[in-house]
Amino acid sequence: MKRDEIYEALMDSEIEPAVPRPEFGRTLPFVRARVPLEEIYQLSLDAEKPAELVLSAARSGPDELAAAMRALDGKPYRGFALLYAAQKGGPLVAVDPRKALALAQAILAEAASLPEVNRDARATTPAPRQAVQAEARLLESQAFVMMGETNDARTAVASARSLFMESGDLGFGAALCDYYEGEAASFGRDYAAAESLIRGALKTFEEFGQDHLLAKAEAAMGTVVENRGDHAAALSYFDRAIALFDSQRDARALTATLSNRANALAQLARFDEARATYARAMNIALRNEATAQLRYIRTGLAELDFLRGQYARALRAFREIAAESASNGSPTDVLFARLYVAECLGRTGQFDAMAAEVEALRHDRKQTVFSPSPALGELFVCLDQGTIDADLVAHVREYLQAEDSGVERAYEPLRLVG
Amino acid sequence: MQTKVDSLAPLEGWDRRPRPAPPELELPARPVWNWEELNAKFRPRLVAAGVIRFGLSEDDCEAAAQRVFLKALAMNPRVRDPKSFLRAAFLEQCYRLLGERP
Repeated sequence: MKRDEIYEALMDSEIEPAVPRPEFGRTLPFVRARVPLEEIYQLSLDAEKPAELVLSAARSGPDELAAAMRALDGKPYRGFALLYAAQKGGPLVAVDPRKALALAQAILAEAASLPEVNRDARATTPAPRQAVQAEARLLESQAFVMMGETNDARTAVASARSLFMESGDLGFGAALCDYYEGEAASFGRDYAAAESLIRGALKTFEEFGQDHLLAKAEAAMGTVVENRGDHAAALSYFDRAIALFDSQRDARALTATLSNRANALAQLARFDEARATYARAMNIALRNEATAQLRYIRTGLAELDFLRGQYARALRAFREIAAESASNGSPTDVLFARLYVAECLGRTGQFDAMAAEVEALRHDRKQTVFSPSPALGELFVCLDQGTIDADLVAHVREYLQAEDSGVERAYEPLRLVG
Repeated sequence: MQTKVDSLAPLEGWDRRPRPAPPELELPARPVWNWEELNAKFRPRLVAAGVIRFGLSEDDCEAAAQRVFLKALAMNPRVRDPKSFLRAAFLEQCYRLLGERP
């Protein structure tokens, strides 16, 4: 989008600009009849509660969702309600991506009966089919990303892009598509595409003055750059995002970005700054009772101790994290915490305890997605052979962490041959 | 180091981690807009700016303003700063109208 200095000056002027009028002899212009904006605004307000009901029904199940959709039939605000339900479906993606996908697809189908967008540039259609279906496709893409289906996510965004264009988008919808496709590309490890897409979104969000979206795009760029291994460059993106987030309204996003910043600092061996950043993230997570984020931060802090060679302290922290994750976390979190515990024990000369920890891991191995991994296989064979040590545990952990991040590579045994 | 998060750390309720968690997706409740001010004061300013700067007719500018207000309403849960949104969208709409001129 271009900028126009005179337009900007008119908009910023302290004196309100007025439409120039001839002093006399004015002919009454032809003025098209329009639906008063006030009425459309009221429709959008009326759609708020029904949209929430649709979201609530989507959380409950397909029957409830179908009933909520039928409750919208014939209502003048139906288009807005579907539109807002699609836009507000994000939290459901985090909790249950399959239900979010079902919601997106239900909205897509329901929207088929909405009025088409009016092609006349001077006419307006509140919540036309194309706009609603575009938002449904964006929600669908988020659900696909959460399910690890990045190609499907990008296909959904491509469809959203066409629909936004049909709906007479003024650039903002395209920027949303860039952002979400960039996220999908990032998850799919197509970092070059991710960077280009998110950079485009950044520019438009800035032009439209939406700081919270700009912050999200900056944070996403930081992650892309971080994943490409440029931790120093990632920091500047994280810093800009952190400055733009609202500490109250964006508490979770801010906490997560602070965690990512701390992670980048740790990679750069700037441990004190990393600790201070984790501490700030922890304060916000505690205020918001964000349990999963708190565990993530505590794991980061324990890793800092570990990297600094403070194994006794790291051991205590990882034991607590392992115990807590066992009761309310994921088996993957438990696995990594226990591998750290074993490694700390090995590094502090407690070899029997290390062997016992690995034995316990073997006992519970079927609970994790890494159960068939050859890395764990080597670990357990070496345990039986009495050749296990901290270096082997570290080798296995690093391989599994890379796998958990989506890096696909063959396992190279450290001790076993053939 | 612990597994890097792609964009953001895990969200509440997400206990499966085949891949790092995606970004924070939560949107706030409907942002509070001062509709009265937007409609009664900001809209005429947009229209006047369109007429003065681009030489468009008042009717065209009114239609353009209506269009961008609708766009803003359609994006309501995503738009926290409606004035900035309307301002940018109106400029784009004016350019499009200029482009349609013979």
